Amino acid sequence: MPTRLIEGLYKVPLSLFSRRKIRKTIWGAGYTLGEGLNDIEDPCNPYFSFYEAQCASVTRHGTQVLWTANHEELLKVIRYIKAGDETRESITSKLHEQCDFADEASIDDVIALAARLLLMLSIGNPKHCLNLGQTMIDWKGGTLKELVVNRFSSNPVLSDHVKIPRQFNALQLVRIAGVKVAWTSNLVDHLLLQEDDTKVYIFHHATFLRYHRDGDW
Amino acid sequence: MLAETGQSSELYKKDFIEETLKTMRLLLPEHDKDTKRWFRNQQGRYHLDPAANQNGHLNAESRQIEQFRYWRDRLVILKQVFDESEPKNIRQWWNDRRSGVRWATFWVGFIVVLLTILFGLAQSVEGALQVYKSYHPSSVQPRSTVCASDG
Repeated sequence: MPTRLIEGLYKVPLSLFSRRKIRKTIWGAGYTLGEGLNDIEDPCNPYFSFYEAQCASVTRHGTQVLWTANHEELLKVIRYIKAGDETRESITSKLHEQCDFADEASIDDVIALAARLLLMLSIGNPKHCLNLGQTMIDWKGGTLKELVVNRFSSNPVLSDHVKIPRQFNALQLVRIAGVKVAWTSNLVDHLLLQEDDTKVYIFHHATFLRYHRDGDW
Repeated sequence: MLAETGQSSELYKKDFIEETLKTMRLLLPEHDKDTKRWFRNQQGRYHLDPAANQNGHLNAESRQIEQFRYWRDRLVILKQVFDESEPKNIRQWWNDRRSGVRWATFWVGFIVVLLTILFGLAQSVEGALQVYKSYHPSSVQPRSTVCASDG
């Protein structure tokens, strides 16, 4: 009988046991990267820092109900939306039936939180936004897969034939072009130039990306 | 493109993930010593994922812009900013090795001007000393006839 994660969302840091269960829920039972490693060596650390910060933000700024919610309930929501084929509306009604979250706002908050944790996109309430200048994404309807496809188009608009020389990298952008690098956990902001072309966002969670590539969906 | 969503069960398509990792490989090449040093410093300050700098690097063929579909537009804009930038201070001039010829020409010119100024300064000082000496010669006793006439 699997043990339930009764740790509250507000409680940080997560225990090793919680991490293992969260990892299995999101990336699949077969994905064991980081298993058995201690806190310092675990390559999942950056992801779990993000996870903990998101939970802390939601419990701080969210509804009263979320303060009492625990990770088990959050994982339940993650399992519902993980396939990506359920529409926002159907997820909301399913949660109304099955979860203890009574009100609309709490349900919205927890669905948005689950989506953020799965995709590392700033979906939902700007109040829960942890860094300024992030592109917020509204998920009001349709499926999560549709949201991703709409956001990340594989039809480039600019047709300039551009050569990328060997010297072109982040450090040279900083040193030569004087561009500042802002590290982001919001994938939709990756490579985005802001502040009159003086600041570029770079998404750094390579391990998270590898989970999506190698994990069990 | 929208029709492809039904084919696989993952939220992010594998080619999208691969291309995103590829942009990291481009911007944070693993075997570039300077990048490694800089990224390690950034990593400590901002608690970054070390794996971002562990993706290898891109060879010339993989650097073709046509190979990027999802991130092409943003890369083109970044490259434009890179190209249009001119070094603004001495440090940036030193670091800008985009054109080896231009870099060498600039610094040779810089050294030549520096040496010219130095030599010019030295010459001016020397010239001034000469003028001073000619107006105020050091007290050298003229050859005395006193002794000869005394005797």
